[in-house]
Amino acid sequence: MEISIKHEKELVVSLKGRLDTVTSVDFTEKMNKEEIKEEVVIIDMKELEYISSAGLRALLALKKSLSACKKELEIHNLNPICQEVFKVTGFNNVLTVK
Amino acid sequence: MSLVRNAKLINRKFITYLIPSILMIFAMQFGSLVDGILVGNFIGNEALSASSLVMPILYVVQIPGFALGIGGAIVVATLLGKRDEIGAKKAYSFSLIVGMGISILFAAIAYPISAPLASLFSDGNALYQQYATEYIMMYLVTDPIITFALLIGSFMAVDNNPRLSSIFYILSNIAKVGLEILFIKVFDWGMYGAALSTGAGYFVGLIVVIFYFASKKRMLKITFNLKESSGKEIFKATSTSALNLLLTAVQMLIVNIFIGKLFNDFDLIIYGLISNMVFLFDLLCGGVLNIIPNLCGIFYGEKDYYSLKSIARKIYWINIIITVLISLFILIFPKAYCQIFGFTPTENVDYINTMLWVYLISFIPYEINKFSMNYYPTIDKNIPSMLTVLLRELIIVLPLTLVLLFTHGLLGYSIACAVNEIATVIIVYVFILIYDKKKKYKGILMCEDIDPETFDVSLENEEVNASIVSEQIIEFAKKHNVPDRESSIVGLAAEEMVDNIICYGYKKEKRNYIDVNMKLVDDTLLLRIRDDGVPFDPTKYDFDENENYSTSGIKLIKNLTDKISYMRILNLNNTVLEIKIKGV
Repeated sequence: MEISIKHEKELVVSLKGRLDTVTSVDFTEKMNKEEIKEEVVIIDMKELEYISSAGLRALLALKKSLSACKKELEIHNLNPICQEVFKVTGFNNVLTVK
Repeated sequence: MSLVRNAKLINRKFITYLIPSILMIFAMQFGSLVDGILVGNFIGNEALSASSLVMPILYVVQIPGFALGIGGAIVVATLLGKRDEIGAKKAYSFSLIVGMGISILFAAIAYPISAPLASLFSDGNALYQQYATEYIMMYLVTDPIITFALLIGSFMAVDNNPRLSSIFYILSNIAKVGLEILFIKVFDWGMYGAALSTGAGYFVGLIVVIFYFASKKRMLKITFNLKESSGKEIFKATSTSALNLLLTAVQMLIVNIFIGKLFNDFDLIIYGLISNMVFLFDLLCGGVLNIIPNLCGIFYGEKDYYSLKSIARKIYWINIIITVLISLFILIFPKAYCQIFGFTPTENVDYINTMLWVYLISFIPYEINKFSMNYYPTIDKNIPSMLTVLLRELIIVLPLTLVLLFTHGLLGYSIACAVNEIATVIIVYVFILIYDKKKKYKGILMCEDIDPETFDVSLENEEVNASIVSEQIIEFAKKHNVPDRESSIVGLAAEEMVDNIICYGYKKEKRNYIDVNMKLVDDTLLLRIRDDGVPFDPTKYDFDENENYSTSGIKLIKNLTDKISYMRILNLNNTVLEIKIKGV
């Protein structure tokens, strides 16, 4: 999985490929190392083809850590299969999906 | 890293089935051996001869237990492999009911039929007549217990309890020996006691069956709804064993009559020595062959031809290796072999050695034929197995043995046995090769080709493999024109299941293997995951329906797939997930 991070008005994290058992660990590590000054973090999933429950858990952990610092997490550009995964797991209710 | 299929997971099952099976056959053969010793020593040589003479009758009496046990187990294993649990229960019930029905009939006619049957073998000798009558009568009376024991023993092994099945046979045979001594020596019941000990021994062994009935792993339960109960398939699978027992009885009867008339006393002793080789080979090879119905039946039902071929090849070669080792032992130490049976050759040593060596030639083809008789009915190919039985128990053996017995005596008998087995192997294998071409099967194992349109891999229990297998399945599905959505779901299902097994399935941190198979059948993707972790049935996995969200992988795949089914077969978790392709 490729992760690219841009510090703009918001922090935009673009994911490409798969967010699964292996890559979710890399994602979490990378996000933990990142110094987040922005109020909003956007995860752009336009090029994310696949997300498993491990990926969902990584997103949830990120959301919790951001909430603790009173920051927001937004998920953008979900593809149809990722949308379906979000829907059946109820993640579209927990995370802000745009 | 590309994953490939291997047999490491099923090889572990092979060992867990092989050892109990060898011990079981060992116990049964041991019981028979000691039976002869006790009868001969405590009642007399005439009693031993009478019990040997009536052996053909006992073969026929054992048909409902032995043959239906094998045939029923084959059909039950195949149905379990197909995940037809209801069908398996019906086949189990059908076999038990028919077997018990026939054995009760045998018991009911025991009194009027025993004396006339005994007279066939006693040649006017009053003592033989009395011993044979008593033996046949008591064996028939106790046949329902023996039949039930043989049937339930077979089904226990196929129903996830190979160890319990083995313990059952071992306990029964130990009890049989103890009770036989009690009945003959203490109660002085003579031949009645000798025959009664078999049924009584199995009756004691039934204690183990209580544990089976209480076992959580048990799937087979009696049902009286026998509609569509695979009766035809059971009789088909039973036919080879039943015909074999029947023809062995006929052949034994005819050949023994001529041997008795043609051989002098010395040749009769040598005949006894070489005949006992069969017992020795069966003692060591029988347990290996005995696992064919259980393991191969299930893999055949699952259409897992990779596992089927792998296990069948192992059984084939292990049997041949054991046979070669025993043969070498007898070839190198013929004197030691004779002494096992209490005979020390002092004269005509070269003659004895020649007889042993000539007779030994028959054993490699003998074991190959035994394999054919067990393997082909298991994979629903009855013609080669029936051909094997008919050739080696009737068509070749009878004329050949009788002619060579008259022309060359004992040497002729040994040559006939070897030629019979070799000719049977050649004819059956030529037939198989012709049949293969006609039906497009591959090789002597007569398997359908492994479907190239199937994704079939084995992976080690490392988390990275959950991700790799998912990627490879998605790639495979897309290559086979499966739409993106369904390709992703099947990949997701594979990752979640494998990850769950790796995280929670194994108690000890050691190398384990998981088999993953995926294929497209009509408009449905079938994903099968097989592992030897702790029993886990995802269909019974509970989660809170009212929770706002869930990070559970199992809940995710339960919601995304169309059907999940689970079975604990061969002590392995077998989960099948179905994903229907929308718009097809």
